[in-house]
Amino acid sequence: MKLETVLNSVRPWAPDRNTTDGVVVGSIVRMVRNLPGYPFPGWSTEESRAAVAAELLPVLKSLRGYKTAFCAEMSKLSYGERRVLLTRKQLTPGMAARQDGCYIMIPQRRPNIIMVNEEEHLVIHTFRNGLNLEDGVAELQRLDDLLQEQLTFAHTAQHGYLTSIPSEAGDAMQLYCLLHLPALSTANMMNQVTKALEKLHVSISPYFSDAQDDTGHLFVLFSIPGPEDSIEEMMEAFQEVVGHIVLRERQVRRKLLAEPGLHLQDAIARAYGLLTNCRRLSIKELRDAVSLLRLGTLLGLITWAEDEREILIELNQFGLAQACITAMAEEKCDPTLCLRRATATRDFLNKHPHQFSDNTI
Amino acid sequence: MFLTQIVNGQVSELALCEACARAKGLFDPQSLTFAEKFFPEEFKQRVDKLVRELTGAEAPEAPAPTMGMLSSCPVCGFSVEDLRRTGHLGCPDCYTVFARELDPSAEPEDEPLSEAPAVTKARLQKELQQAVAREDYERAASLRDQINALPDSDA
Repeated sequence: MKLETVLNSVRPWAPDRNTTDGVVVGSIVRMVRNLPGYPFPGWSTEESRAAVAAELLPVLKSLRGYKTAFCAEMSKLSYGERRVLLTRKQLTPGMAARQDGCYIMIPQRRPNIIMVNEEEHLVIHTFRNGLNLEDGVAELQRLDDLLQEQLTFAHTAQHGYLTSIPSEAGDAMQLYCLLHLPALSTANMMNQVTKALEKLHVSISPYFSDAQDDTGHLFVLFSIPGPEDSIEEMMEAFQEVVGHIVLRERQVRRKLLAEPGLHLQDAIARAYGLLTNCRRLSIKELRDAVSLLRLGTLLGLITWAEDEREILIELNQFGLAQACITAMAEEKCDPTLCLRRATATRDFLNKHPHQFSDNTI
Repeated sequence: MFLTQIVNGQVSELALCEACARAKGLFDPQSLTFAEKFFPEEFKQRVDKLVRELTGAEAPEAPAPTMGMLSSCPVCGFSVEDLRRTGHLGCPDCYTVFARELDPSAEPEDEPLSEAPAVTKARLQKELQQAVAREDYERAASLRDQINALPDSDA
């Protein structure tokens, strides 16, 4: 299968259809496993990586749903393709830098990605809409059981599943969650949130790895596993933290909306004006404006002919697609990209009938 | 110069003149704290040797090195310094080799080195042949050392 087919068929991020405030856009559960007797990839030789891949790939390809999966050695992927996969979070930064003996596998019909010889021998990520961690963990445990019918993973009674970083040994799972936090970002409260999270074994970083700031107001929240934590304990603590952040975001949205200065309404109206009238549009402008358009939709300032939840997914996918086009185009330094991006944005808005109804005017 | 050594609760005391102490390799008594602080192992070995010479005691049998007490992993060559510097481990067997470093409160395991680690000599020898074939002699030398460090039972 070709990479283009995968990129067109797999939609990695979509908000949960059961929630309406769209703060939690999606979640990822990561599971790592290592084979006994081989050095970890960060300390191994090309021969050792090849031997690990030779042991793992036939088993992975024998799994149901993975026979026709996209599977490529990292050295065969161009830098543009790697950047696109990175933008979609279908590749980790550590894996993006790897070459021979390291493989990525993306099945067409399952929201999973498999990396062989990333920082560990076998890394599996599973994507879920909204905060659906239990389902993600269950999927990985099912996969783990299937793999263990044919493979033996490095495990001890004392440490659990062994990993290259001792503190991550145990269930060897990690939790990630994508959050859309326009109100906390607009109110300059993200530093406060980041510092508070440090004390809770949770970390937060901007979604777009190329951005030094919080463009697009998208963030990735991830758990830092402790040596004694089981996945159930980690999941419970993580969900509690996510719940607090969601609550805070909602509170700040209400507070900003109620402010007599109308700063939030003004920001949303300006973003809408920019997107509908621009002739040139940078990727940063697009990310921020689409984020505010999303917020305007959630707050009822913009109404769409289509179902609101569907349009939120469309907006996410549009923003992600534009980020991927930019990632691919960086190689060629396309001077017309800003113009094409502006045209694509106006076309998107024309294609989806809507109305901007600000009752503050 | 008075030297008091306590080993396993047994106190041995020695009185040496300054010339004898200097002749036996013990220098300025003022520098003992410094030596103990910066070269504790070396200093301890020297004092042990001196006490044995003077008391006529036989050298205790050195305990067999056990997993959990080595300074580098015989399987992957990862050293304890690498672990301290990076916070990472080299291979799954490093958990056994660096058990005491990972958990200083843990009792050392009685698992002797002769216990075959998960990596096989055959696999290392295959890697060695490949390294020689591509003329990577540095890697080949490292692999040879790892093979030599492995017990013979796996041959």
